[in-house]
Amino acid sequence: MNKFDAPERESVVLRMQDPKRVRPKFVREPDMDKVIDALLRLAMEISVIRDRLDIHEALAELHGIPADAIESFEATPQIEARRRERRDRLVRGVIADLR
Amino acid sequence: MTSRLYEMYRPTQEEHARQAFVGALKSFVNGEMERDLVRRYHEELMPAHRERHGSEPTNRYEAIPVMESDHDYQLWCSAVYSSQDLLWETTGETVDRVLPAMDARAAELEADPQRLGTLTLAPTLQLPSPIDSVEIHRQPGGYYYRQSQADLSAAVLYMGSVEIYRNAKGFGQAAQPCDTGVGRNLATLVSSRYPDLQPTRVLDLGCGVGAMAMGLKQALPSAEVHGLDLSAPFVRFAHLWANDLGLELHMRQADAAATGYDSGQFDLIVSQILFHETWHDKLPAIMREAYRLLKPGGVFFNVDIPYQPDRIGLPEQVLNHWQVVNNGEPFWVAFAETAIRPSLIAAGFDPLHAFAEYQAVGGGREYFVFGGRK
Repeated sequence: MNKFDAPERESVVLRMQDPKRVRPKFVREPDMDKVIDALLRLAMEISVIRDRLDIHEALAELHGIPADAIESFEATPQIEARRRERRDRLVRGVIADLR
Repeated sequence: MTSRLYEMYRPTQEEHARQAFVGALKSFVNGEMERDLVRRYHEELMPAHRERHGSEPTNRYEAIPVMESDHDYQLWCSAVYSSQDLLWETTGETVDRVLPAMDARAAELEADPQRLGTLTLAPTLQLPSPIDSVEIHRQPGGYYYRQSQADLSAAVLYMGSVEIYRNAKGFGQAAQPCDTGVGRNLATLVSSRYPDLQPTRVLDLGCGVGAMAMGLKQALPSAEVHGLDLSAPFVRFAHLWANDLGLELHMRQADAAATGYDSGQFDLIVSQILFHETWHDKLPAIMREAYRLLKPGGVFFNVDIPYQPDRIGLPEQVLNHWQVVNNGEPFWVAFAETAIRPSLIAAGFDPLHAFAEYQAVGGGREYFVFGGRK
């Protein structure tokens, strides 16, 4: 037995929310304005992507592509490369905001 | 190679998209951002410090406050910490979803008399302190979570996090989780150093979820390959995964310092990143145990991180020190500061054959390799 033994299994996501996992503070001057800039930009980008996805899924269904075709879709290396490039750009943009 | 486990683990499109983002974030903060901090230290922070104080930091403890005063360094700390939380959160989402199927598959296999290899668990094993209470890499619950129960979550979570690192390197969604190439590469390193060695019984100490033991079995198909780890979920998962790949392996839950095997049973004993993830006080006993288990002429061969302080610059040492303090690497410093070759000799290895050195492995990377021959 050890200190992590628990009578019932807790989901990993719940374990992450354990109040004992206190997030240390590293940034001495948090500059909330920069943080808000970055968060709002992210929220905006997520909203844009959600709207765009909704259009794609609605169009696909209109044209007879079933909804589970999305889940079973296999990305080609070209598509993966395009996604990687977008993610990298997003990471750079957010970090640049926080600098 | 088709893998039933891989099909079970497969993240959904949304989970994959989140995990891929975490991979991209990690790749940036641990790559370009770190290189930029090292450059800033040498070109800006250290010269400014010298200007003000008339001297340069001479060790990492003097360099830490110099870097801590820098906003970009503070941002790096915060972003690395966030990225690690996101790693566990996004992997956890997939693990929580697939775990019931994994648990059921493990139960089915363990009841199957036709299964390949063996699994030896030690339900009464007392985990050594402080290892029992450490969350390596801040993995929620640690490597031993619910170790006495039928629960694979610690192992699946570990495996899934490795998959994100693979995504960060650009392997994408079609990559197999936990490639076994690490074991095949190790077999090549061993055979180039000891061309006369023909291993018939091999032991992997601290085998984790079994990637290296499986690669060794693929590289040495006629050898009997054993894997040992303190974590019950890890060896149970390794047993399951080996069967999934059609490999006959012998997995055992035990302490690497007191394995329970008879003396002189193995002609090759290996480990990979065992020593920097275990309590440094156990190092002499693990080395003595390895020596006891080897046949005459047998080889002990270990691979670990090449982060000994005299090998790297001060800003890199500061970044590593942060990982030790904030990212679940409590055993790293003591390992990096241990004189390994004298420890091997003290454990019984012949000074003529005991070695501890750095080996280039391509791509500008190097391993710290050490061991000896009985």
